[in-house]
Amino acid sequence: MAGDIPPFNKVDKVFKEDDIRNLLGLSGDDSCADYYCHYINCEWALIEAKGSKIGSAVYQLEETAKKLSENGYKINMAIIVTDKISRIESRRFEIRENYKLFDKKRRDYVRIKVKSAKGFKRVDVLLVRRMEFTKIEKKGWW
Amino acid sequence: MTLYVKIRIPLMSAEVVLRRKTELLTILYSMLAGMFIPRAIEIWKDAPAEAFGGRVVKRREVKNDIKPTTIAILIDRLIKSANLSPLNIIVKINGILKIKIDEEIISLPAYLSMYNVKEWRSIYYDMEFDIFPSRKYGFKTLADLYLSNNDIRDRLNTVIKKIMSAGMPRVDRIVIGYSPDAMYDIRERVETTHRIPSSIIIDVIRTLRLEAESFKSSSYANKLLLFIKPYKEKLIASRLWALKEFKPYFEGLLKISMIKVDYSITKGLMLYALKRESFAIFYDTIVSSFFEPLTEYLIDEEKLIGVMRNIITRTRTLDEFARKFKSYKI
Repeated sequence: MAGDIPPFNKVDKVFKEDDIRNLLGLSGDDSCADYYCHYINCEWALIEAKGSKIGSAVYQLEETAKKLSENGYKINMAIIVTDKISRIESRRFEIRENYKLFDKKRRDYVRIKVKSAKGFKRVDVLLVRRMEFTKIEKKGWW
Repeated sequence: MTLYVKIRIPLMSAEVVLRRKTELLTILYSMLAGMFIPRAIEIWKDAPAEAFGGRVVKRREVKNDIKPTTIAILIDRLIKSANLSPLNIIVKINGILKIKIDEEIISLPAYLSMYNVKEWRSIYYDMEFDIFPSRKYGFKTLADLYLSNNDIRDRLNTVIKKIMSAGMPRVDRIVIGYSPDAMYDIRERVETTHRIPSSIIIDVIRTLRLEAESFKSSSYANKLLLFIKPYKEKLIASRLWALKEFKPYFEGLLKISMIKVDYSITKGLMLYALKRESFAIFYDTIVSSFFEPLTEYLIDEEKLIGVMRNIITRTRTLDEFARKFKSYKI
């Protein structure tokens, strides 16, 4: 788990995939993000750390975030954790300040729509490579 | 990671191309029937996720036992009712992959997508079939399943052969690999099928190019590429493949790399790995045993430029022609 959640030393509550499924009543047949966790600064993050493809990771985060937020769970950011970004995908996407995923074609940050108390809001998708975990744990990202 | 299909787009109207691609998607679905159980069909506009600026225009839940012909009709209806330009359409079938592992039948969330949006085709190609990674069963990718389960491998190989034999649009290449880079980087593959067999050599040269361009590139790849660059990849590949002496050499390469060749494919070439690193070994071996010795006989790009410079700066070159044609001396 420590190898999937950045920065792990700033997390005080973690829901694993099975916990998320239980929260939302999802079966094993439904795609689901890997972790839903709470940071000590009171932010909630949804994390996808299994695969390495940006397209399917964002789709999974989007689907899970939608269901979580519709059930009243807060989400402040979505994180993709990967070992490397493919060369083909890096033609379209890049990591900008604070690990925010940027879509070069649309010239906009990749953001996921979630339900909030005031209607809808968009939360940033961050992309973090595992090799950067130590740096993040030392510095934090807020 | 994924099974990717790359199509040679014919010179036809966008509507016809979309229709033909949908037919191909249906063939792919029908070949996966029983193993891939659909749950919903989605028609996306522009991109495959809202976060990328896409939008689900139509969505239809489907029954488990839906027939391929019904799926085809349904997709066609959904596309028509979406009323979008063909070049903005992405079709996605979400479902589950049911497979038998150690006498236990397991289900993994999976999807089958068809991209008709140029900018997404350039990343995930024309069609994509994959599982959503499973932490429970430890499968991150379809490639993991392909390597670890002979039934899946045989089934997917049959699917690939059927797709390759489809008519228009002609499938250029199908690969199963660990990332979208697999379409260009041979080392990322566990399976590769080509309509033109010699294109496997082109892929080796392209991988060499990628290796040379990479930040971590060894000077070795760069050095070799300097010699190969002045030549057409297609020329090297097709002439090499045509040599009768090439077949035993190629079969030796496959044996060393633990790659199997399937000769039952009527036209083209199908290779599949028995080990995770098979295609990386294949690449390293062909580069060291063929391309490296070949460069000893070729002149590199810099030398070629030097030779051209020498020829054009020799003053007598054009003077001879001026005398010959009795024109003004330059």
